Amino acid sequence: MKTPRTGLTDADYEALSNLRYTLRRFMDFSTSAAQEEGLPTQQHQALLAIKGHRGEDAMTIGMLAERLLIAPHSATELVGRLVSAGYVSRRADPNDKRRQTLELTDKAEGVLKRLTAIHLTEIREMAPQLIHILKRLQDEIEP
Amino acid sequence: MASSGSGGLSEVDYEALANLRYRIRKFRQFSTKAAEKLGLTPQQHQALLAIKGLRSGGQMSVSMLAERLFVPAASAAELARSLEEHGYVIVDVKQRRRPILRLTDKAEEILRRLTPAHLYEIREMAPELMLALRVLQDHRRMEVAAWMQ
Repeated sequence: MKTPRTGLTDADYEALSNLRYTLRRFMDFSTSAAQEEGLPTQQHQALLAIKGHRGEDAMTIGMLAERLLIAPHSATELVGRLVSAGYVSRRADPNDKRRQTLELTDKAEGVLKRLTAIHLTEIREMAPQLIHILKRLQDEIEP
Repeated sequence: MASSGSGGLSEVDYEALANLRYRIRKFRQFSTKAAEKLGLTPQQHQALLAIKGLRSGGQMSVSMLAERLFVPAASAAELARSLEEHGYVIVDVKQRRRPILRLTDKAEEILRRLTPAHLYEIREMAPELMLALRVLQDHRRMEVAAWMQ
């Protein structure tokens, strides 16, 4: 069992500060990219969460709330907006009529394809630096 | 050429990107709660961390803070005022055109209390975050390799 050092060094603060800066830059990029497609960032994240969902069961509003870390009633409202805008369709779950599953429309698939391609380019730029900082912060704790 | 651009995305890319964003959200949520417990807004916390994280000898001006936090200059100025009001920074106006923010002992203390839990949380999330990043990097490389053949 390795115990973390108790003292924090200037290098720790610098690495942590750089990590947060890198994440903010990525979020800022992502928000702008989504806005250019006419999507508020939360709607973009909802579509990505549905598209990136793996598992036997289809995505539900409850699962979406968990993935986005928002309250269930907020997820319901969000899905309502996505349905109105033509990005998502709701289906009754054949196994449980009280539940509705969420599916992306072709319109959503098109937007996500464009957005994801430019996100991958951005991530390729930031990944080496981010991995470097994360490793450094890990090594600090486990020398 | 068919696989270049937006045509070459696979299910794995979407899954990795969704996981990356989920991990980042979880971390930010943790951080927000930790800061709020000690009476700081997340933005105040990030401002203090940005100042503390400067290399030795570095000086944080209000305009530089705006750049580091990705907020408009007016918001950074407002943030600096609120941090001064709460006794976390001293605004050094020796150079009147470029006021410099310095941390007080109170700010140093609150950062000392917040940072260990953040380092722990980062250690927890790092493997998953790095995995997602590597999948997304490698995928692009594979796409380029396929195109070059």
